[in-house]
Amino acid sequence: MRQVLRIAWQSIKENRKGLLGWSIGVLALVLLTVLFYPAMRGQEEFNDIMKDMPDALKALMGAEDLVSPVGYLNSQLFQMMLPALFLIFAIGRGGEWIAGEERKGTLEMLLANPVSRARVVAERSVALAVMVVLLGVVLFAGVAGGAALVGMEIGIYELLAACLALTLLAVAFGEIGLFLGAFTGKKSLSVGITSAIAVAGFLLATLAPVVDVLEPFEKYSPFYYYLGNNPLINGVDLLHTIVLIAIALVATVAAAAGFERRDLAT
Amino acid sequence: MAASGAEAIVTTGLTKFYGKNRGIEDVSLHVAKGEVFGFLGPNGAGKSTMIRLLLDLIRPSRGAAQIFGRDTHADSVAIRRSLGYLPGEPAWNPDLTGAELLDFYAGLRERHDSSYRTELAERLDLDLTRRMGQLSRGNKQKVGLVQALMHKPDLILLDEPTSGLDPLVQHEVLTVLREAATEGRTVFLSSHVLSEVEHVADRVGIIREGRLAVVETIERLKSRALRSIDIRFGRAVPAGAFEGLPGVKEVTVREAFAHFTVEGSIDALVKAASQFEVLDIVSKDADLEEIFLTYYRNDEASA
Ligand SMILES: Nc1ncnc2c1ncn2[C@@H]1O[C@H](COP(=O)(O)OP(=O)(O)OP(=O)(O)O)[C@@H](O)[C@H]1O
Ligand SMILES: [Mg+2]
Repeated sequence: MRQVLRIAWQSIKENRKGLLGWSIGVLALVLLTVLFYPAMRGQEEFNDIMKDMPDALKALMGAEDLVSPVGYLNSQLFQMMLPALFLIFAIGRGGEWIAGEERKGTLEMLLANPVSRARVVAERSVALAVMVVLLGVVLFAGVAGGAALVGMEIGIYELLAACLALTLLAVAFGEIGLFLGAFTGKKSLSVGITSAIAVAGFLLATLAPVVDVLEPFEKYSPFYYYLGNNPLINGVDLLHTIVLIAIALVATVAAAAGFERRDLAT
Repeated sequence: MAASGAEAIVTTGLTKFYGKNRGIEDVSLHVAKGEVFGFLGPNGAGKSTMIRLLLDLIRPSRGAAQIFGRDTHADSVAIRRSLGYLPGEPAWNPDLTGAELLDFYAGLRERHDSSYRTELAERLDLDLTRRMGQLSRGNKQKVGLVQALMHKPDLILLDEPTSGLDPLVQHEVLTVLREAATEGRTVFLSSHVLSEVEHVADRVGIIREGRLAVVETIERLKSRALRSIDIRFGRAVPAGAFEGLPGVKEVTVREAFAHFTVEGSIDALVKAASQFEVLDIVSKDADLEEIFLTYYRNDEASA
């Protein structure tokens, strides 16, 4: 494995401190949130407050129900907080690994070796996926462990499905960032556009169920394939999983093609 | 012309424009295997552009290049297996030590010789256990050199390899390059300092505003060399006495002192001077620096 995926391995190794920092951050957030759950349990009046809110706001916050274990986890973590964190991490890596390093000049050093540009893109997209998966494992362990500590009733399989969907969503956006960086050679442009797509996608997917004009476009948002099926309740949706993986793969192939065709910047 | 098998580098009409900006234009060049070729030019002349084209980091606007008979774009990965490259401004992750970095590259290259790497580091007085971020500019440059040389590549492309190095280390680097050439490997190095390649290169190419102005062996360049002659006479001499002498390019007479720039033989000048009382003659070989400038001056005059 290390023989073949040397660039991927090296990329992960060089980013291990960053990954550790993010893991600690995610773990702390998740544990604090889950450990706070007992204070929320049985406080049905919170749900009464939500009832009077406009539908769009309810949709954005992710739940009409803030009190059940699934409602609590969705509204506090999986709806907005975790996607924001995971996407920032993945999009940052995606923008850095071709465009960022190109600007710094370190990519030129790498490309002086007998490695094709397609290989660099492929290995870095693998490294990106591996790092996001590791962050996803930390997330899963944090929620599962915290839930066990406070006796929060949550299906392990469904939790796994939600963590998987989130991981795949972040990988997909990371690879889109990689693609834009590889295509343009500009990191800030890549991060900016990918983040804008993410925000638009989030709004589209969450508001579409309550805003009639948006409804037909729901399926164009990558977020639909993350939360559309509510994995914390319904578990893995095979089709949605495949769509997210397909987005990541297409973005990676496009990144290789976009990188191959142009000059490396100085 | 030798068969392509004997050529390390062949470029034909190689041209690169960055949008409207000229990089290099119509560069046709042959570099033989085992040769040390100095690629010279002032800032912005196109040296880095040329080297980055050979590495397929950038793509030509026109023309093509071959290395060891293979197209630099189509066969880029195969070519890079037998290539070592030092960019003009090498950059690395500051958290890695020199050794970690070299290990990584060695793994990508398959072919590498750790005893030669150790030898190079020792000869350049380089500590590979320190992090790149802690190294001085010169020491970073040394890591770049070791990186370019450690796997004993057949072709070594170096963009201003001795910049930032102290004279002793500079000398050692040139010695290493000379050794590589003796072993049949080819060295292509760029520089703006002629004195730097003078002792190591077999031939030099001078590039100016993107165009290859001169390709010459060092000896030929020197035989075309200009010489600067100062003569002190016993009394004031008329400038007219030295006008139009063969080989004399420049005459400056200030009373009893005269300064001449002569190309080739100084015979005519000495004979003309002998009609006056000569107290002293100082003759200096023009170094490549001056030859280089002359080429430019001639070029400008004809343009
Ligand atoms: N990425 C680029 N975009 C636009 N113009 C460029 C680019 N790279 C180089 N140039 C231009 O091409 C010309 C040649 O540049 P190059 O870097 O090859 O010169 P050089 O001989 O290496 O100079 P130096 O001695 O300063 O390193 C310069 O006029 C430069 O401005
Ligand atoms: Mg340069």
